[in-house]
Amino acid sequence: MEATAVKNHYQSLIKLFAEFYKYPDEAFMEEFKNGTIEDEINTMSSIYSSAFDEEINLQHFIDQEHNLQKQFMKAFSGISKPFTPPVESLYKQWSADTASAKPLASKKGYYMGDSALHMKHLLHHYQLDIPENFTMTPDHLVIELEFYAFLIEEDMDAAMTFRDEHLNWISDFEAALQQLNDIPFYQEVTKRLSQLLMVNPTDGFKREE
Amino acid sequence: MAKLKRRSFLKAGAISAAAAAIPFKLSMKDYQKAIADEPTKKIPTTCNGCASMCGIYAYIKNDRLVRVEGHPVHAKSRGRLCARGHGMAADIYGKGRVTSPMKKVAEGEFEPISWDQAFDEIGEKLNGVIDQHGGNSVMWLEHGVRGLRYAEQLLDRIGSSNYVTHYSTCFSAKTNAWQQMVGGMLNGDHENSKYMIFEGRNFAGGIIPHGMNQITKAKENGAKIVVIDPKYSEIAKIADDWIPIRPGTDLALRLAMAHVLINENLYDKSYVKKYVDGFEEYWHENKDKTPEWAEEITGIAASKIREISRELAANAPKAFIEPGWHGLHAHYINSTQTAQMGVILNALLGNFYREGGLMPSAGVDFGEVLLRDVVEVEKGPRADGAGIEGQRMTVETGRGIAQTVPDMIENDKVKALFVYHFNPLRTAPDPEYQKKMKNAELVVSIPVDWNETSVYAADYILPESYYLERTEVPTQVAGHTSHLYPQISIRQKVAEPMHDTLPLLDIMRGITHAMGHTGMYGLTVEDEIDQMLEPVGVSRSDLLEKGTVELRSNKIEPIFPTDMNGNPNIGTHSGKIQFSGEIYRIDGKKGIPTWVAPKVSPDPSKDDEFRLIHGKQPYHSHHVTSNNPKLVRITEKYNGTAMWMNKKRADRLGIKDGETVTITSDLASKSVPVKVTELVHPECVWISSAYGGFSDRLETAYNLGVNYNDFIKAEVEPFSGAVMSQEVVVKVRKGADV
Repeated sequence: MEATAVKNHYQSLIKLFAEFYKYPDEAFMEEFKNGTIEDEINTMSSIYSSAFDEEINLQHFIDQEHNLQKQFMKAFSGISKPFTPPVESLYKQWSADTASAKPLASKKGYYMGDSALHMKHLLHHYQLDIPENFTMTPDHLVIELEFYAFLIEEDMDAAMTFRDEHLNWISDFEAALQQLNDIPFYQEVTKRLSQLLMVNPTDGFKREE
Repeated sequence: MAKLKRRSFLKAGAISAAAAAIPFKLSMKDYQKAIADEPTKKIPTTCNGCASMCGIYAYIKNDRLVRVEGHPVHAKSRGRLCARGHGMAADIYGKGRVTSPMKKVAEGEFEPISWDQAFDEIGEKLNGVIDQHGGNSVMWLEHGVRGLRYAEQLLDRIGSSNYVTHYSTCFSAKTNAWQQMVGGMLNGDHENSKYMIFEGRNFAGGIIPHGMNQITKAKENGAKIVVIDPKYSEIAKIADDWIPIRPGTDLALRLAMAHVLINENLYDKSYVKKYVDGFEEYWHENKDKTPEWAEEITGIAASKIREISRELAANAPKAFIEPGWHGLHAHYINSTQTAQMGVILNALLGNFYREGGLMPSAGVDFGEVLLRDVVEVEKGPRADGAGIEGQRMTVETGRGIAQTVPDMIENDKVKALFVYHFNPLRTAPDPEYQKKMKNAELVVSIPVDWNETSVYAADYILPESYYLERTEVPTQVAGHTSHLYPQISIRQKVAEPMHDTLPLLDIMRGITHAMGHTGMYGLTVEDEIDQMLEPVGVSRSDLLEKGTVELRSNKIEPIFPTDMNGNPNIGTHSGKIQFSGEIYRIDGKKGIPTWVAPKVSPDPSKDDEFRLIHGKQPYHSHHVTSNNPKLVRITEKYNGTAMWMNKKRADRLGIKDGETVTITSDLASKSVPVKVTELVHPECVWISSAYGGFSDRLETAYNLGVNYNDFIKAEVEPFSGAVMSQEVVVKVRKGADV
C-alpha cells in the first residue's frame, strides 16, 4: 500500500475514533448495530500490525440496559457522578502561569486550562472554526482528534508534536474511565484509542515504502 | 467496505489567522511562555460566596479568570476576601455544574434538552396548571431576594401571591420583630464601639471581611468583646470573655439583663422617655425576671449577668448587643421574643442611631424600572397563610414559610413550583419530607449545580449562568456593617459562560414567551440598569468601570429620625421604638416579650441526651459551598465535619476524641467523628451547617458529614414562622451506625 493510502487510513481511523466521543445519535447507533463501524476499524487498522492486540468487537459491550447513549451520558455528561469528561484541561495542571493564576494554577480537574487556550490558538492559526458547543472546551477529545487528523494531512511534523503534547492525557483519561461502572463500551474504545495513539503513523509509511 | 458517515465538527473558518494576538506557537511550552506576558484585565464585580455580595476584582488573562481579590471601596470587603470568595470563583471552571437544561426522564435520571424545548414544555405545562388550578397555585421559592424582581413579574401576571424565601429557615424571627419594633434593621457600628456582646452571633463564622476588620480595630482601640454562645465559636477567639450559655435560654438572659438595667437605674431614661413606646408595660410584665431567676435557667451566674449588664450600661451608648442573624433567630420557639429583647436591651442603652451603637444602612433611591406589558391579575391567598388572619397572620408576607412547602403541595394549594437559588432538600428540615416537593405537577429548579432539590424533586433543571458569567442590576451595599456613606455596586459578566446556561432574566423571558406572554421581560438588563441609575447620578459605564461607587449624598448621621414636627418617626406604629409587636397583639398573641421556655430540652438524668445545635464555619456558607474542593480541603484540615461534644459528657459515655459516634433523633440516625472538647456546653452537641450532601452528582459534598436538617422536623414557630431548628433532642452513642 502506498504511503499516502496508509496515511489516509490512519487519518480515517483517528476521525472514526473521534465519532465515538460525540453524542451517539440515531444514525450512529444504527451503523454501530449493523457492524459498519467495527468493520471499518478492523479493516483500516489491519495495516498497523502493532496497533491493536486483537480485532475489535465492541458489540458485546452494549446491551439494552447499557445502551450507547446511556453509557455516553453516564461517562461524560455529569448527569450522574462520578463522570469523566474527555477534555484535556481536566487531566492536566491547569496553568503554567503560576504567578498570576494563583489559586488554580497547580490544580487538576478544572476546565479552560492552558491546553484549552493553546487549542484555541492552534485552531485559529489553521483557520478552523470551533463548533459552538465546544467554544469553552476546545480541548475536547473530539476536537483534538479531528485536529490531529487534519494535521496528519497538512503537516506530519506538526501532527507528531501535537500528538505528543496534546494527546498525552489519554492514559489518565483511560484510568479515570476504569473507575466508573457500567460504561464498558467507552472503557474499551478508550483503551483502543490509547493503543492507536501509540502508533506513529510515519512508521507505517516507512514500512510500506 | 461500508463506511461510517463522519460528523466532522471542525470546519474551515472565515477568520484570518493574522488576527491572532500571539505569534503562532505550535508547541505548548512555547505557547505557555508567550502567554505568560499577556496583560491582565481587572474587572470589578461582586462575590457570591455568601449573601453579602462583597465587591471583588476579577483578574482576566487570556480570556479566562485567573484570580479574584476584594474590592478596595466596597464596604464589606475593603480589599479583602474570605476563603469562600476565592473558592467559589474557582468553581467557574469546575466539574460540578449543570451544563445545560435537563429534563427528568425517570426517578433521579435526566436528559439534556435544548433551551427551546425546555421553555416550550414548561410554558405549556404552566399554562395547563394555571388553566386548571388558577395562577395562585404557582409558587416561587428562592433564597431571596435576588430573584424577586423577575419572579414578581410572572407572579403578577398569573395572579399568584406565593413568593416565598428561605428566610424562615434562617433569621425571620429577627426581621419580624425588628421591622415592627424599630421599623427595619440597624447594624452595629463596630468600629466605634467600646463594648460589644455577640450572643449567638458568630461574626467570624458568617464572615464579612471588613466587618471583622472593624471589630478587631475596635478591640485594638480598647473595646471589650463578650461572646455568649454554647460553643466557643470563631468570634470567641478574639473575645475578652466567653460565656457558654445553656442553649435555648438566651431569652431568659436578656430578660435578666434588662432587669438589671432597669432595676439599677442604669438605662438611658431620657432616651427611653423620648424614643420608646411601651416601656411601662414591658417592666410591669417582667419585673420578676431577676438575674437569680435567669441563673437557674441559663446556667450563667447572676453575678456575671449583673457584671455584663453594668458594663454595657457603663459604655452606653457606645455599646450594644449585636443585632445578630441566623443564630438565635430561627432556632427556638422563643426566637421571636429573643429578637424582641435584642431591640429592648439596645433601646435601654439608648444606642439606636448613635455612634458606636446601632446605625442604619446608608440608603440609595434607585430609579423605578418601567416594565412593559404589565397586566396585574387578582391574586388569591398565600399558600403558607402568611399575613392571613386566622392562619399565619404574624408571618411577614415578603418572606413567607419555606419549610412546609410539601404540605402546601399535599393540600393542593401549590401545583407548580419554581425553586431558584435555593436547595430546600438539604437546607430545610427533614429531607425525606422535603422530597415530597416532587409531587407538584411541575417543579422547575434554577440552580448552578446539581443540588439535592434539583436531583430529587425537579422535573426540569434550568442552569443559571455562574455569577461571574452574568450581569445583574445594581444593588445597594447594606446590612451587618456600618458605613457613613451609601454605596452601590454591580455584578457584571467577567467571563463567557462555560456551559449552555442563561441568566435568570433570559430564563424568565423564555418561559413567559412560551406561555404566550410575548411582551414580558422586554427590557434588557442594560435597560434596567440605566433606569435604576437615572436618579442616582452615576452612569452605567462609570459603575461598570468602578464596580462599587460610594456616593457623597445621604450621609448617615447619628440622629434619631423625626418627622417635620420633630416627633420620632422610624416607621413603626408609634414612630418610636416599640417594646411590643403590634401585629402579635392584634393576632391575640402577647406583644410584649416575656419568658417562653424552649419547646424541648434534654433530660438531665439521661447521659446520652443532648440538644443538637449547629453553626457556621468561616470557610463555608452552609451547604452551598461544600462541593468546592478547595474549601473542603480546609474542612479536612480543621476536622470540620466533626461533632463537638463536651469532655465531661463524653467521659461519661466512654467516648474519646476522634472516635465515631452515632446521633439519633426521631427522624434519623447518622454517624460522625467526634471532637471531644471543653469548648462546648455540656448539654448540647454541635455540628457545622455545611455538610451532609446526599446528591451523588456533587462529587465532593456527597456523603461528607451530616447535617442538622437530617434530625429535625419541619415545624413552624408561631410568631415569625421560623423553623425552630434547635428544638431537637438527640441521643448520642459511641460507635458507628450499622
